[in-house]
Amino acid sequence: MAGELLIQVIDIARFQAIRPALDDLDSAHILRLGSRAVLREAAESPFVDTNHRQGFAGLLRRILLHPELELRVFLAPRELDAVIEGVVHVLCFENGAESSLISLVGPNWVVLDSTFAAFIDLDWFRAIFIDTDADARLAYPRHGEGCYWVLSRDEVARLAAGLRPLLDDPAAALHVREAAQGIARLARHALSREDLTLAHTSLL
Amino acid sequence: MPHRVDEKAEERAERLEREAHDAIAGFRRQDGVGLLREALAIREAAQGEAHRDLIWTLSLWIEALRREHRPESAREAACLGERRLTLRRAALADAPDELACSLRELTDLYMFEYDVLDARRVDELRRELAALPEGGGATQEA
Repeated sequence: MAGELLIQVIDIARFQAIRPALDDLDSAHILRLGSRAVLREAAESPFVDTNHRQGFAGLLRRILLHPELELRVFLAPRELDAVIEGVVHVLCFENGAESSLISLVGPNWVVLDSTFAAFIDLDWFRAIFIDTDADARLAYPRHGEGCYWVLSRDEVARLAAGLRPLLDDPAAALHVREAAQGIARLARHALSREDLTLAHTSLL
Repeated sequence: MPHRVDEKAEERAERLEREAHDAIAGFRRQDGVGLLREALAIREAAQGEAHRDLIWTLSLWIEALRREHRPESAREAACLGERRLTLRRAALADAPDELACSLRELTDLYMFEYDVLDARRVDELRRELAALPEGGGATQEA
């Protein structure tokens, strides 16, 4: 399997908390009061206007301006998908799900591109990231390119343990070691709080 | 009990629309269009051809056609867009800002790459947009 894998930290407790609002959005009818409160919170987030979410703030404004209208009457399906994805990114992912294909290891993300090949044959890596259960898929976003799978805490712990031999392996290429160190740091962070875990998505 | 029958029809149409949305996003556009054809027929029979609930069915269909990225699909999308605009005019009578968004959306449907599929119609839409009161034509979408 070729490809690029993006690994990020997600607040899964927060995701469960806003899940009713995401269901409400997904139905595309009139939003309940609680769902509008979630959208207002997203609109006030410092991450609402980042470059990769152009138009998200405008869509939130349009929705909040018309509580009397069913979303399905005035939004296009791709606009609704963009709102759901944006809300999940902004409210549930660390740093608003910021990531980069230029800096492959960042404060809240790791991208495995050419380094993917170095991990793919490791049994524990395959079990955690490739042979995933359908129920590990994050319920939202349901559409578009941003479908995520989430790791259980056991999987995060197994990931941290599996990475350990790679961290200081002089035989490993530098970029592989850096990727392993980046994932290990994310795993440590995820394990430090009950409500955090790791989420991953394919970039192809 | 005709009302109960209608409710069942609406539930079925909504389920088909949801499946179509998944199919379109999952690159199974033909499947999606088939589901939408069925959903539209159900809604037309149960709710009438002028009901606002047809808007979402048409929006999903337009989305499927746009993703085909062919001039004939773009023309069909614009045609469905005209029907959707008629329904939105009624549904958005008290929301001129959203009517303006709908006019812009239809204008975009008449564009295919660098071609305008119907220049006369695009001019009409732009004139209508310009004539909308503030909050409509004067407010550009962010």
